Amino acid sequence: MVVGMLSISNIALGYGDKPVLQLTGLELPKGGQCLITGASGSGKTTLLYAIAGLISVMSGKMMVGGADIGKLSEAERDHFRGQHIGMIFQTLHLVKSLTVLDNLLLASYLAGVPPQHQRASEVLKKLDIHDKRDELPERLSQGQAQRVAIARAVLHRPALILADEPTSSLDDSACETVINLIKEVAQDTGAALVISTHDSRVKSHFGNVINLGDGR
Amino acid sequence: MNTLKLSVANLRFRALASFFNVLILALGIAAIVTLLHLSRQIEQRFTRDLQGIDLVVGAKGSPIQLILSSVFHLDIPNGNIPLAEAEKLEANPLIQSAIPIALGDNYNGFRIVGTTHDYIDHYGGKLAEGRLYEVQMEAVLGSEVVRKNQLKLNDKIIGAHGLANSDDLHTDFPYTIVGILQPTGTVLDRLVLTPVESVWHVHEHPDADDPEEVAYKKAHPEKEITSLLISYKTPMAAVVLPRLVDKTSSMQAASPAFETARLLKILGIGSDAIELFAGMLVAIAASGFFVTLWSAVNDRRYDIALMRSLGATRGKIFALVLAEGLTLGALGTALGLLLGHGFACLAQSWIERTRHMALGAVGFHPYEIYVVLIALAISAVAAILPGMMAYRVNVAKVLSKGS
Repeated sequence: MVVGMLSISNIALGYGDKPVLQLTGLELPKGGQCLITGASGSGKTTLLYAIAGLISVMSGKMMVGGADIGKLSEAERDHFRGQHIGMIFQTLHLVKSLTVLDNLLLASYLAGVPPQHQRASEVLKKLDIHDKRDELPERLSQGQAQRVAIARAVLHRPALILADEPTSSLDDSACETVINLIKEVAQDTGAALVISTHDSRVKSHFGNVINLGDGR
Repeated sequence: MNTLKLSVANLRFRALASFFNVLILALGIAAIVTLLHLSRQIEQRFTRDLQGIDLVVGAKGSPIQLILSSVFHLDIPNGNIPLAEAEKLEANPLIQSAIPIALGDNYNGFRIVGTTHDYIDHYGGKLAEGRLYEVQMEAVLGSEVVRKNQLKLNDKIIGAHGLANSDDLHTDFPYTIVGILQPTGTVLDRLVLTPVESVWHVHEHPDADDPEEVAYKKAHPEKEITSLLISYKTPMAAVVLPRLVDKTSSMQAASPAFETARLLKILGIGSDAIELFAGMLVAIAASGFFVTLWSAVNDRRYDIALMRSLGATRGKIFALVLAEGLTLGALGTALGLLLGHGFACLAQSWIERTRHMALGAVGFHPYEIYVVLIALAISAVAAILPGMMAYRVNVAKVLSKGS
């Protein structure tokens, strides 16, 4: 039996006692890619946060990389997330006080892994922003900041990359570039990829699309 | 990347607020450190100058003034005492030694003291050059007097009337320098020492132009000295002698230990006020730390949520805020110590320039370690509440809001 990267069965997710999303099932193999779509408020972001262990599963079972995420303590989830999951947000948000390189090394530090200068340089070169390594985020263009956020997410060669609405504020050309870039770095590192979006332009890039409207 | 580097980067990003927080703490610490050093040096100086003197006998008046003028050479004397009365007291069997002090003139602000060789021996004075004085108008100089005035053996110096620098020179009565003392770290270093007879000789003929001096000389034809520095032979003397002097003579007896303690207490009121002010500065700095860190955490809620999403535990986030507080505290404390030592050196140099007192070098004060620990503890306490706020950031909620 092949162990999947993500295995969800009959979960309920929400904040406090109020369920926001119920999902009967979702399976994603290692290196697999899927797109989660749905209208605003459908629970796409909630699902991504639950996979990342940022919120608890109310009921049901969610296995991430072989670990039952619902049974881990908060500190264990933090540690697991830092080591195995890379996250990309709609608001790219880099730490303003740190240079591009330090933003990447911060991810190593927070995840509790040794600093990866060599790997950081490789990733920055791959994403064509190595010359910006000593710049503060405020001096980057939107596209450059987007690349830094992607670089940060893949620095540790995570087993799973989660991207929340990565293209919602981009024009068509940038949207195409970013999606291709994320898919490409995921393939390069062998990471599974889950993207949540309500952006219809992204659908054509994925064969595996889950509409949360069907699962609720 | 580590917690310290991240803290410093965050503080640098808010450079102006960080700078003022550090500066306020530094000023508070500097004031405390300066006070610590100066009070220690003054106390040490007083202790050295007081050594072995159990009682000072002089003219009636303020006992503190008597001690300040006769022991520390800082104030003007209350007046003079008749030599005959002083000699009668010297013969008391309860007295181990009695050193006469005769004041009246100065040389460039350094006091000319008529006394015996016992005075030099009392403070452990040793000759660097020359010999001790033998006859009137010979002088032995303390090391500071020589250094400040570039003097050498056999030079002639002219005293000026009074105990502060003045133009009323005794040009007809030059002193010959016959000896120069090694530094002792005591009051001896800044005195011109001569036989008591020299002081009598210079003032034997009052200035005819000064009616006050003429009248005084007429009223006091007998020989006088300023005071006697007395060492007791037995502890019983402490009970008997002061009362004996005060009740049976025209003189007063003052206990240097008691009067100095009283003086330091009076000075202490001033230093307490400065300490209070310094404490307020430290408290303001702590409040500043709190406000800065609180608003920084508030502004950086998304940063914090993001760091949690990158794998940081709540404990790590709390430690980061605490480290920022401690970094501010450490910078403020380090700057405060530097400024404190600088201020103490400046104050020391100013006091020495006034020729009232030569103080020792500003070294490390043992209490500085407590100042450092307290400052760091205050910084850590000021960071605890912002740290708790950071600890409790709801990651999913903040990330969902997107800013």
